[in-house]
Amino acid sequence: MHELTLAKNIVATVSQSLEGIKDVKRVKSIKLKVGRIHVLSVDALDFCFKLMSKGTPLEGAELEVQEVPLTARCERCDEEFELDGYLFVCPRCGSPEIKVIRGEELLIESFEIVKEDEDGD
Amino acid sequence: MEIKVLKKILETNEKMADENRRFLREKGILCVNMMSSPGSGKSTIIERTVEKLGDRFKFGVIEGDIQTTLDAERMARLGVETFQINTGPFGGDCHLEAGWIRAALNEMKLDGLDFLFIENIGNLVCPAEFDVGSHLNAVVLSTPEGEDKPLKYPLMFRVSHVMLVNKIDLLPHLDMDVEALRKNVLGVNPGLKIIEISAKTGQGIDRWIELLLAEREKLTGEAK
Ligand SMILES: Nc1nc2c(ncn2[C@@H]2O[C@H](COP(=O)(O)OP(=O)(O)OP(=O)(O)O)[C@@H](O)[C@H]2O)c(=O)[nH]1
Ligand SMILES: [Mg+2]
Ligand SMILES: [Zn+2]
Repeated sequence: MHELTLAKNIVATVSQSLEGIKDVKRVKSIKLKVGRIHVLSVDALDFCFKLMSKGTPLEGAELEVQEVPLTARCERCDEEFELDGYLFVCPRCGSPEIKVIRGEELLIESFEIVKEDEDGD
Repeated sequence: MEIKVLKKILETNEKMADENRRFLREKGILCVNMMSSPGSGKSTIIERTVEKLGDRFKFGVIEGDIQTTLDAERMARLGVETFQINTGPFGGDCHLEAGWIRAALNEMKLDGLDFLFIENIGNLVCPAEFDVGSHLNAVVLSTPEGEDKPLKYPLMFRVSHVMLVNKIDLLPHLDMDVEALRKNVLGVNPGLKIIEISAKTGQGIDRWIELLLAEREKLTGEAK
């Protein structure tokens, strides 16, 4: 269950970013990008995030997890393609020398805040 | 109001892992991260390795375990510098992180060590997500586990440099198809080295030893 560690890191990173911003009432949502190579349970992550964000401005924020398909470029024939399953081979020329360009990331992309003078639905 | 962040979730761990890797390289210690499902043979392989090379090289072992000190006791019996990390107090975590390795390194007697093994916690998911600062990642897959594991846990086989197919002595009793395993795993990671071994009979261990020695030479050559 490494989702607990991920949740801790998300809370820490977003809290740190909040330090420079004035009059924050709360964080409404956090956008994450998760490459398809990662095995991650969104339910477990939600659960752990609730636990770790309790009592912070992040409490109640919604995690928006965007799954990123595995995409690679062939270093031999330059073909760019989306991977079929987990076969890391060029579908055009059969070369195993490919460079993954998306689908391995685990990123905090952005977050949405509500300021003191806003309603923020 | 939207605030851009664009940061890796595990950035802190990655930085710490790079520091560990550099620190160990400067000391001339090859750090090997052993990962596998529970019971695939990590401890036995480390024991065999120390038996083979113990008279020429000095070993250290960091044992990750959720609760017990059983594996650490096995290692201590070999007379190697052993450090135990119990993740139980941290919520029973299922993997080791670079920060804990750093803490272990601060406590251990590292002078004169040539190899440091990290026996990670037994599972094929979480340890793959956390770089600990190793120079070589070895995944152990034992023959009873089946040939489909690389397809179920692709990241583990992507982050590994070598796969040890252990318990090869059991093959006559199993339906395991080693050729299918090779095909599956090379599809996931075409550059992966594959060594079939039996930690029990010693079959194939010499190829593993050769690889370790070559990797250490590469590392210490770099350090000079
Ligand atoms: N037949 C056979 N048994 C083996 C081999 N290698 C290890 N074993 C046995 O498999 C069992 C588990 O081995 P360990 O070395 O403790 O495995 P491990 O990966 O360290 O296990 P955990 O640390 O508990 O995850 C022991 O009973 C070993 O004796 C092998 O090559 N062949
Ligand atoms: Mg063990
Ligand atoms: Zn191609």
